[in-house]
Amino acid sequence: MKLDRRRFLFLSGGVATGAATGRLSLKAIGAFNEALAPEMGAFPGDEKFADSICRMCPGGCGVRVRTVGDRPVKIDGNPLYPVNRSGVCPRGQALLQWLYHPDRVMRPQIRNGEKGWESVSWDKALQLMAAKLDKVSSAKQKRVVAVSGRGAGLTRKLFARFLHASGANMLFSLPTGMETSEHALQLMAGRTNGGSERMAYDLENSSCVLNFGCDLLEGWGTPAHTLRVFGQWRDTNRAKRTTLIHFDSKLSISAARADQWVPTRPGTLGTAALGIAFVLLSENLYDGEFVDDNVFGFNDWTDTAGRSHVGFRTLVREEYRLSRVSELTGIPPATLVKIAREFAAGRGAVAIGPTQSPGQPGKLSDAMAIHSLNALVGNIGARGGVALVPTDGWELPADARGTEVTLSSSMEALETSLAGSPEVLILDQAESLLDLLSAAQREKLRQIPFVVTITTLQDSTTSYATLILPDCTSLESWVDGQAPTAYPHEVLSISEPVIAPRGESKPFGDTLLSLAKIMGGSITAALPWKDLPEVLQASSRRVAQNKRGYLFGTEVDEHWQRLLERGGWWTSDWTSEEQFWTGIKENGGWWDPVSWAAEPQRSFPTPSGRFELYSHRLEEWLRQQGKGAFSGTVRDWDRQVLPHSDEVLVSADSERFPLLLHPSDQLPFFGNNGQEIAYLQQISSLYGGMEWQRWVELSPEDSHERGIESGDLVWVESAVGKVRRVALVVEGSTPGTVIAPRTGNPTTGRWAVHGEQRLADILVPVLDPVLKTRSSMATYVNIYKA
Amino acid sequence: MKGARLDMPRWGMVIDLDKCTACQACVVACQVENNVAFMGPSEAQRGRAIFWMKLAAFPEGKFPESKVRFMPMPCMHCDDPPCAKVCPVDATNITPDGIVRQIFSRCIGCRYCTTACPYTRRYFNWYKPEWPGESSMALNPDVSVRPKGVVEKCTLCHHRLQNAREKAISEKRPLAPGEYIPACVESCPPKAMYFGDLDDPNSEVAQLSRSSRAFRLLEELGTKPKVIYLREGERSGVNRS
Repeated sequence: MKLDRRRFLFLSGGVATGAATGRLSLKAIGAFNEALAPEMGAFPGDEKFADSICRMCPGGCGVRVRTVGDRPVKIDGNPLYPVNRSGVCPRGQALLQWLYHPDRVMRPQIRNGEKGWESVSWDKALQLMAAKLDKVSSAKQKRVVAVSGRGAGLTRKLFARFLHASGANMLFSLPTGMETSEHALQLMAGRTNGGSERMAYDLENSSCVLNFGCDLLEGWGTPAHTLRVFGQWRDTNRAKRTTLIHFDSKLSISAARADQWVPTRPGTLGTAALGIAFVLLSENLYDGEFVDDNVFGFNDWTDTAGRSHVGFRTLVREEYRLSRVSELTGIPPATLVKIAREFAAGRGAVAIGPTQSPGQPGKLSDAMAIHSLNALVGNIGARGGVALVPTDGWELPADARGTEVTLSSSMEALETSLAGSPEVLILDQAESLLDLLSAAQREKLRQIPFVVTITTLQDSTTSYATLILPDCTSLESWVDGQAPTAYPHEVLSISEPVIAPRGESKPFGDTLLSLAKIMGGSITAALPWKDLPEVLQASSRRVAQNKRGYLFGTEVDEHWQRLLERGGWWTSDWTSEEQFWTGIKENGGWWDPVSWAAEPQRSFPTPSGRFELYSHRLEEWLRQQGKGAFSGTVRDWDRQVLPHSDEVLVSADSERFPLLLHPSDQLPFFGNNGQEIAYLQQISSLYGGMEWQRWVELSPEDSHERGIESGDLVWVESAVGKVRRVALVVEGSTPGTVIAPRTGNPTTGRWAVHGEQRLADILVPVLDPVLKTRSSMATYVNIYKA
Repeated sequence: MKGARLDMPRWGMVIDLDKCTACQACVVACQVENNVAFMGPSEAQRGRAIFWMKLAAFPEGKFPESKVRFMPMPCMHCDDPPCAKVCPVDATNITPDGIVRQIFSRCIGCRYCTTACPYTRRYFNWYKPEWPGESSMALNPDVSVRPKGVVEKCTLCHHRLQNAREKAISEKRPLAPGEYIPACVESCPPKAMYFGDLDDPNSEVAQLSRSSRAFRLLEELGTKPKVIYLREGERSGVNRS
């Protein structure tokens, strides 16, 4: 008889019961048990460490991969990578569960009517795709829509160029959520002609942070960088602790971990900011020198036609009195006063927001109101503040034919394109798109005759697909990285594959190059490279010519380099393009750790040459939209242009829909993906019990009134639809508001829960009156037992 | 005697709750490092997922004075561990350097220890762990996979200590500070976790453990935990260890 562990325990059960008090005989059982345990396998190979870049989210942190016998077995942060310096967020930690996911797509697949999926060879798959694209482009109609959920980088640029070359098609990228704030800053601080600048915060050096609704700790910016900065704010080795004040209606992790959570009525973040501005003005706490010399539109002014305009100071003092702001926002006046004084107390204070998440880009008026606070304390471009910095990502070497890449991040333009019945839809890692579309729009996707999805896993996009092209994780391919959203320095990084691609999967960049070769002619000419390393090497030449910056080094190196630069020295880490290419491959990247100046920026590329509270560009834009022509008084006009607060929440029947629902983002599923990964699902439910589900959080007051308890199934109904959720009663959460995670269980793959409705189905989008961008910040709903 | 300390450290951890972001990188890092089995939807919803390191969330107070407190909780590695006292087969005991270890192969699954642990940091394997598809490829060869029917818990990544010690011995030198740290501490993005020898008065952990912010969980039970927490700091105050 084979005596295995279970059998042995069963047999020894009687002995154990009889000898419950006899430790000795039980110990003997334990010892015997130990002897029966299988021997640990011999060590399966050498231990090695390789550097790579995490692509679980667009942030792209540097990781160090531990491999044993050429199998990656653990991910940790790369201490040389300046963005995250050794830490990685839980998403990065779970990278291996993505790499070895049981639902990885291993080879190209094509949908074959009722037979379901059929594996095809790469040759056949690419021939099919090339033929389809050829046919559509020869019909001379823009019938191809392509969406990429991939972060900025060379692959996305290759894709955009490929689309342009194969019929002047546009690539849509999914929004990052920073667009509105960035747009506001560009309107106020100006942008250089033809230059592309991105908004960045020097949060590491901020002394006081007023956060208007950003989920800082739930995936804002680049998670590992933001989390690291949060630790630095409270590091015992730094003399002064950075104060973090969080304005928002919901008690999120960011709210709970801030020094102060200021419950703010939904839709009034800009009003709250102007309330703070009111205190700064009336108590004379603002930076008079910066405002007088470098800000336009602060005082009342007269234009060239002789019309007198209202300045920011007058508008705020008259229209944003504390009593009114307090009434609108629900914040006590004394709180606003106290916060404003703290904000103005020293250098390095910064205001960020409004809510910056892909589904909630926020209102332009709010963003301008928040940036006006930054101008009032003179921190534009200053240490600890906010600025527009050049976007110097990896560039594709210029196309001989001079065609330029077209990339749009406008959800509205994308929706219009999708509504125009395209012939071909290409979804490149675009799972999160599905959480941004309504049920009707998703149904429309099913009517598109040819849908190609580029994905690593069977995710929700595969259920729409006609053709699946298997992509690789970042560990299996050459990867390029660059400065992520909101990061204050320029970074360019690169890493080699750590292991060979699983199955027949292939990096999408290589797929594009192969496709270009098949399609021939101008398309091959536009993408002439053999493979990704060749593209990277060609791109690195431009950076090598930049006589500044350093190859990645330790934190100590960084401090030394900064010291040298302060003394006017710069020592080149390379002397030739070849040396740079070898160096960047070995060190993992190049960066320019320039320190932000102690003083604010003094010249601005705006029509007035100053930071414009009254933005001439916005004025021009409003006129073009036919909003101008001075229909009302000059004051009405000024009010539209100056930072102000727009009421844009869609009102609803308060009897039928008394609760306000906030979609929330969670760090494990930041960017609306990762739901297929078990370790991430297991940490998605902070209070436990909601793993692999979609839920809605209610306050004890609201749930009591409705007879709802935690665990009950409830309907969440808005004016546009209803979805079923599990209720979770959270102690201390805001009465009258409910929180629902934007995403939850996977809808495809082995752990799928079918037929689950998406939150997008009940959200009533809010249109920004100026930008016309859609935001689903809050929707009136009712909740009742299902 | 203090002199013996040089040969035998007393390993401990300090968690600064002021710096913790509740991100749970430590939770996932631990699971990946220690081959902790994951659960599909039905088992996870029954609360059977295993967390050697768990983030506990405590909502408190009424709106608008409400707050949520977060606490990453590994095994406390008590100097006087209640679990070890009740184990009938010596499957859990305390090593001379203070690690409360768990010898999986010796465990008979009686679960006395899970009942005895006042911190509820022990988990029973109700199921045979499943590693569908290629997912077993990511298993760490340094840590054994536990069968159904045994109890498991945080070992302070004991295998890392063994590896580091072997390396030091082969190079004929003492173990250097920082050479051995558990996966959770290594992963922490805000660097809120510290690890080292509590008996070395110059170590960071020993210094932090003497902080005015330091406390231990359920100290009154006399378990003498070696996981020490630092409570939250004061707003706009001077950073104080």
